[in-house]
Amino acid sequence: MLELEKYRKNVFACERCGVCVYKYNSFSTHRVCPVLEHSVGFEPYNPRGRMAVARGILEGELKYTEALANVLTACSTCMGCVQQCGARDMETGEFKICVPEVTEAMRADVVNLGLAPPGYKAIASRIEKNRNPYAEPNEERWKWAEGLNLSFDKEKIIYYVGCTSCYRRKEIATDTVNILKKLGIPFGVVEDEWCCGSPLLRTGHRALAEKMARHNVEELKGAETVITSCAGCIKAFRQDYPKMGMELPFNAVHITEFLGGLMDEGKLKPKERIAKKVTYHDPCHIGRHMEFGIYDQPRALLKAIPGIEYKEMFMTRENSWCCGAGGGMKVSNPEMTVEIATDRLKHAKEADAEAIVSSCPFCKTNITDAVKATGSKLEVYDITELLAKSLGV
Amino acid sequence: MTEVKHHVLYNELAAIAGSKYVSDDDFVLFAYSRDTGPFPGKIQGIVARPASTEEVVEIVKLANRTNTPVVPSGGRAGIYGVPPGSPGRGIVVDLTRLDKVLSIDEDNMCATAQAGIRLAEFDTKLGEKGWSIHTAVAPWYSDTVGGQLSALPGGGAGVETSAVGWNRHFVNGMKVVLPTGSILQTGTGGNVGKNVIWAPEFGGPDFTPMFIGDAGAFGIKVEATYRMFRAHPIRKGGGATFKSFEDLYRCYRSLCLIEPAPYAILSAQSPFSMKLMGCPEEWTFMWVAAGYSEEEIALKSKWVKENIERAGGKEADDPGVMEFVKMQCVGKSIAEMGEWATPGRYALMEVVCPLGQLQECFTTMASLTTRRLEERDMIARRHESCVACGCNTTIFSQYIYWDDTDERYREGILEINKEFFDVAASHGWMPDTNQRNTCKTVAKYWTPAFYNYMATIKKALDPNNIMNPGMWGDL
Repeated sequence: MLELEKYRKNVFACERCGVCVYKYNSFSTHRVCPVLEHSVGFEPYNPRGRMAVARGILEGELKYTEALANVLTACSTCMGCVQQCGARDMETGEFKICVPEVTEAMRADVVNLGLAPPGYKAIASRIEKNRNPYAEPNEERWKWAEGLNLSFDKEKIIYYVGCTSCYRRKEIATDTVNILKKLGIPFGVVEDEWCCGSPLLRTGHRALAEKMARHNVEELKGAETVITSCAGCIKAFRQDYPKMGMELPFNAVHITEFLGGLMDEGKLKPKERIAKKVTYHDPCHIGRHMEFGIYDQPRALLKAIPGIEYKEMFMTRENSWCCGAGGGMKVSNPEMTVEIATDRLKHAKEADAEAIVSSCPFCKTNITDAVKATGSKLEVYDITELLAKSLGV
Repeated sequence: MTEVKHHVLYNELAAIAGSKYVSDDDFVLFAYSRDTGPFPGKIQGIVARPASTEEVVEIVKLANRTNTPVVPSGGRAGIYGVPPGSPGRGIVVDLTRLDKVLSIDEDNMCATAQAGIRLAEFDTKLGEKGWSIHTAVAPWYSDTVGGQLSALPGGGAGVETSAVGWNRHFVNGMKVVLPTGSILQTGTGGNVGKNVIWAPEFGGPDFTPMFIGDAGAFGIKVEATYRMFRAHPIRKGGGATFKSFEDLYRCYRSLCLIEPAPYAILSAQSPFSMKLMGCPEEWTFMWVAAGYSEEEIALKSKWVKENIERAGGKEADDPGVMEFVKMQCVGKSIAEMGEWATPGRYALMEVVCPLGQLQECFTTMASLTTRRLEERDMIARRHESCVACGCNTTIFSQYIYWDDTDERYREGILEINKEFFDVAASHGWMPDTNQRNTCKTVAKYWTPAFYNYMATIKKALDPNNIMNPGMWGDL
């Protein structure tokens, strides 16, 4: 049976009205789908068109092909479309026309039928072999932490670092550890940390993702709180693992929620002055993807840093413009992801910001790539970097 | 490796629009084969996405040379079926790359945009400068300028339609690529000495209305110029309940007699609909006033309220009613409108009737739908209402929310839809869209003289019948 079959009701509920493409509110609009803006723009490159294609498959009018598989890669699963559509199931209250889930189901079908694009195959094979999507040796996962004296013991609070922070954005991992230590939080990490499975789920490798998830849940048993740096990891823990039948035996929180809570309790007080005009980019996975989007805590943390002049940019919070990197796009459509991130640089510049801050290592990577590609002078930070600096660590 | 077999015009179209912007992939064609309605799709042979008027001209010329039907495509938010074109062969011309605002002429109060721009985007850009144009209230977010001017009679009804009527009054002119590939500028643009398209009436007979609501059968619109007005920054409204439709109608009519109208929107909802929205089950009347100052709004509101009182209406204070009024005042996303707006698939059936026949139209059409749903044992949520468009015209709207996974429902909806418009047209009540299935019904009720007139115009403009053929009956 096709994975898509599970979403028949959702697919057939789509009215194809197109509200998913343009925001409709208060007599003003803006475009919603970054992929539509940066692709060749035929209907299947927008959410409504993808739902139409899904329906064609379910009706037996269309078949999966390699050409279709390639087009299906062009969605960052940012959920901007779902936010604008808003159609909810009258009984459950859940979003009824969840385009990212339908897209991921189609990607899973494509993988199961042996039609996966090369980039998708590469992700799966790297993660299967190395437990991370970067083809880095798993035994080097903790190389960044040399000298930091991390505890690998079973602690009540575990910092789940995630592949991107371990291998590509080590500064985020280091700063997070230093912040937690500075605040006197007893915590540990799990030595045999594997990829959370998010990249696999986004690209249709469901069985392998489940293997990663089960391993991680087993390794994390005993923890009460698991902190993640990565927006994708927290979405995997909170939303994807339960959908795979795993009830979490711990509370999974994003670093901004954790630090925001400490600030509310008066235990975190940024002191060092950072004189900078900064804006904040909302990662989709901790925003729209969450039941209650994490929007306020990161902003509150930034505003608490002395000297920070906070600037809000165009399209934020639930209406945020995706950075473009999610949903496997970075591997399948690398050029498009950088073009989409370039939009964000423009938004930040229009807001008169000197720095764009996010709270996701993958967003930071992609926005940094856009800065390099365009020669922009904009500085790019993860929120933990500025907090670490302000806390003097 | 298997060689890909392309559409016979693939290479020529790729040479015109660029190979990136031409596709004959089955999944691309399928995604262009349906609109929002329940009607079966029509899969054409190839899709091209031109970026300029010149590219549109070349595509049309190619289609003419090869006798290939052309199906223009805009925001794809139609509700009564996509044009028939020529399945497996026709060229879908997706105009959404023509999405620029070309000029905002504040001195002459007019703005020109390419036809593929979404109305919402056009209006938002004007709003940034404090201006607005009259466009359709829905689907404002997905309709394109060209799509709306082609597929909605009168160019549609906007957010101030009750006061100003149909949008055609505010269209100064259009640039149209005729089916032979020549370009026609209607409105004052017909005068070579003028570069401002400021009024449609001057410079010879006004051909603009001929292309409004033509269902895309007379040419491809590539630009349109609208008369702008200073956007109304304040919108306030209210609701009232009435014991009967007769009382509500009395109020409705007394307000329609006032010129100029003190309101922007007048609408009426049946008790049935109010229940669906979780409001008291009463005949409910809603109104919105738009203006530039609080004083102006207060005066307009006073006028409306006096009429409500005279007709025996009671001011509504139900939060649900007020929420609905607020939605009409400030606009809301579907998500914000609440559950009633979001059950998913719906079939929308709308007809326009003269004011004096509103009661008959409302009763006839609503009871027809109820009866047919009951006969088919189809449990469906319904929503029925009417909105004044100008002083003497009213739109009667009916939504049926249905389960599209149930084949029986789909068949039932299609049958009801067909009968609905047939019954309406036989009374002289017209659909407010000119799209495939409504055009067919409208054409069925033409007099022979009108048919011959239309056929003559179509033949003169489109000798090879390539432009959206089959939209108006057999024309």
